[in-house]
Amino acid sequence: MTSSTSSSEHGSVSLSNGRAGLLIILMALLVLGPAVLFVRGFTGFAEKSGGDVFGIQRIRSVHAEMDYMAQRPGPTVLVFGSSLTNEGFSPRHFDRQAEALLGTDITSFNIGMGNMKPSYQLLLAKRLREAHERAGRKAALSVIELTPFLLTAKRNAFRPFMTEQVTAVLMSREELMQELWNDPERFARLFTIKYLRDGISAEAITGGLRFLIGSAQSQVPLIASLGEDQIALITEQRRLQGELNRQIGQQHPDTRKSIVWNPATQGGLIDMEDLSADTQGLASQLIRMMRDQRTLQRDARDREECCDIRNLVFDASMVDEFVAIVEEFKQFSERVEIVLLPTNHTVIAPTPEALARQQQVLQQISARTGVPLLDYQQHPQFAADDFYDATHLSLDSGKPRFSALLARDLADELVSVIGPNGKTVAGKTAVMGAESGGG
Amino acid sequence: MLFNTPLFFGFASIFFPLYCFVFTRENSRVLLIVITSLIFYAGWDYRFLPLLVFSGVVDFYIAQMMEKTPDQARKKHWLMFSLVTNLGVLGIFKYLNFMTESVHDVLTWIGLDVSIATLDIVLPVGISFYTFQSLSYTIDVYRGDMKARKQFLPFFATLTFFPQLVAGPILRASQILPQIEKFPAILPENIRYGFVLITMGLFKKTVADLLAAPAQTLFNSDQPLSWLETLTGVLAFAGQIYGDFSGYSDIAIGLALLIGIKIPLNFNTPYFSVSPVDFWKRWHISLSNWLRDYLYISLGGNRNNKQLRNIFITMLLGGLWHGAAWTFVWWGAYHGAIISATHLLRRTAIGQMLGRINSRFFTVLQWLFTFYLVCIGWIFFRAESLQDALNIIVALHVPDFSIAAAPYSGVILGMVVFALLLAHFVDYGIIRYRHALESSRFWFWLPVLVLGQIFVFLIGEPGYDFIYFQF
Repeated sequence: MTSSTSSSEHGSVSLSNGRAGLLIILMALLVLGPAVLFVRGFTGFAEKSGGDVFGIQRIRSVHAEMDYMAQRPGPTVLVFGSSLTNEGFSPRHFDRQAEALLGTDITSFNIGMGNMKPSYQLLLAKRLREAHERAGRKAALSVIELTPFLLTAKRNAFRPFMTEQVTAVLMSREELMQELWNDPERFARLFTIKYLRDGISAEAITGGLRFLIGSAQSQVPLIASLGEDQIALITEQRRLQGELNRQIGQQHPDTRKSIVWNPATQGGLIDMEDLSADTQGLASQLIRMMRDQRTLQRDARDREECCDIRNLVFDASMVDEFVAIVEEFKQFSERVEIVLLPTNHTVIAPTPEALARQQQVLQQISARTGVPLLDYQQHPQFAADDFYDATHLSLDSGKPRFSALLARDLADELVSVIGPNGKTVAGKTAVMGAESGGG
Repeated sequence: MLFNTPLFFGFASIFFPLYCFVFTRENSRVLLIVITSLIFYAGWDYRFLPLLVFSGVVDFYIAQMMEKTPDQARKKHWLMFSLVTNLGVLGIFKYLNFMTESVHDVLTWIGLDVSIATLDIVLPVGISFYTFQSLSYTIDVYRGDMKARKQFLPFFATLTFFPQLVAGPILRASQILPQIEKFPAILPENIRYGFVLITMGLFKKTVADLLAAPAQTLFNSDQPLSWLETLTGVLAFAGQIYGDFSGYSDIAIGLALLIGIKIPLNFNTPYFSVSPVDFWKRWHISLSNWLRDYLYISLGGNRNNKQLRNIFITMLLGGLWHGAAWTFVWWGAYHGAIISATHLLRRTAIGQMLGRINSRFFTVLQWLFTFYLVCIGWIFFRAESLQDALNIIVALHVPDFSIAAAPYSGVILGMVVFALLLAHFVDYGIIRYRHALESSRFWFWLPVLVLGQIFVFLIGEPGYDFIYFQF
């Protein structure tokens, strides 16, 4: 038995079973406890001083504000999507246009987030449904962005390190417990990220370091291909971006119009009219600079690398997840619309085969969900000048134009739900439990 | 279930309290170790549990049969049965496809277009380790070095003991069986030093994972890299495999120590070796010892002037033990050659003269030269093919300065060298200062442990397999 009285060269006497167990537990706490506290302190400090350095702030803040969105009085419009929505949709312009057309207050929310995959978005949709169920309300209209290149197999394999972090933040306790039976290894990892690491995975922390020591080397051909003038251009862009951020911070010290989801801006980012005249000039200068043809081509190449934007080889599981997202929204929305945002087709033109595949997927999604598709991809109102890069609408023209256009095109849908004078149409009450319009 | 994952932490959080508070009798502890170890193994792949049980049952009964018979010839037959069974299973699961593909390549090479089917065989994790460990038991009983055991569970517990089940250290039955049969008392210094080893092992593993990126850049690259990046990649892999495997061994030894079970050291600052012979006394010591005791000596050892031949065969098979690929065979042959060359050199007048030099500078030169030889070996070990390995060796020795180095290359090289040294000095520290680290009087190490754990928890990415799991 271990409770013998043998002694060691240190002169210590052997421990009883209980004491050995207690010492092991004490040592584990002494070593692990400070490590957990330090990591939480470090990540908290890094986010406070450096912003969204781990790429999770917007997701976390959307998650935290879902009840606010669900409980907001009056008819609400949820515009849900990726960074294309995040940067290309202005709640202010949408609401203004809707009010002008319908004569009533509409509150739209921008629920667009960068680095999204349908699997995360599905979790987000579930959480939104739960928030609306708690509030006992429905959104008047949900607009779901469908971006074909975000449903490709290449995109599925992109940035896998983000997956666990985002999933951990968005998973409910029940879903997490379900994972315990499906994959205990993953359960333990997600549990640690969610409850011990404040939603920030080690992968997110090492991302920068790993890029420096790994990817930097693989970037050699790309960096080597850049001329001195291009490097100078990138440097100048970064300087202007820094200056723009600084001025925005000064002009909007509370919201900072940052990536964090802010109720005051209904989740929207900065609008041109939020800026002083000087700062507007600075923003325009930066956007012009970003439209440099070589920069756009490089951006297009990046999109090909990450998302197969020209060939569009779709991943069936991602299409299934997208359909499931729509089904979730149907449950807490009077109406649901699927929208394809304008594309910068002068920079990236998918191949004919890719377009055929896209058409097939769009038909499939529309048939499976029963939701109509609003396709702005080739809309004549959008030209190259309405984008600031290969895919995103620009702050100065594309974003306000698209937001207003969307409000105009969806006015009939809104009227069918809230009535011509802002009153809810009979049988279309914004209360959960009523028959769903569902699109 | 990797040691560096939260799931293993959960597993350990259940095992140790059960061991200390609930299963306090020796028999029940053996049962606890067997059950938890099987659960641990099932976490990898439950389909291979019967194979593990089969290996244990066969060797347990063969050892008993050998013990019962006084006839040496019959004993030998039983030993052959054990060898054929164990190595047969290993051969099927690990080498069958390699052998059929190699035969196919040879036939194709001589112009015979023969279609040979290969089977889709999954390599059971840890099979090379537990097969060797199980064999050591029957060989020791055959040689009369230990008595066959009458109780199956303690023997099976040594074979399945979870800290070292899937990637060693490879223990001889005589080293661990007596400890499982009569569990040693747990001393406070065991627990203190156990935590040091676990934390530093995790630390080394984390460093190794960081080094994986520049190593991959070289070994997975389909285009030529600059000399600086080639050098960085080779050094990074040297650091990666060292941190990865020695880290795993440290964690295994530390976990066992928490319940008072002592497992011998598996690494002893191997990159501070002064010769290839010295390197193999410091690198994967349990495998070196196994190969020496059971293969090299069985081949005749130093007798009959066949030392060099026996060394070469031992290292060749040692290389093949690592993996079913020609690159491992070349790696083994390369080490066989440089060890043989070292022995040959020692027999010459120059070698004897060098052996008499007693200077620190000369020792440093020996370190560097041995490290250089070992790194060349790692290129064979890591490369996808022999051709790739030769290309890297040429690129390293005949620099093509027309290929521009990537930005930060110098910084990255500096970081890699720093990481390599850091992992080594951690190893040096935990060996050299073991006495102090075990002592309760020296609390200076606790902050070091906390710092190490902070590093691990901050950037230690779970999910990176230990390299040696594939063997």
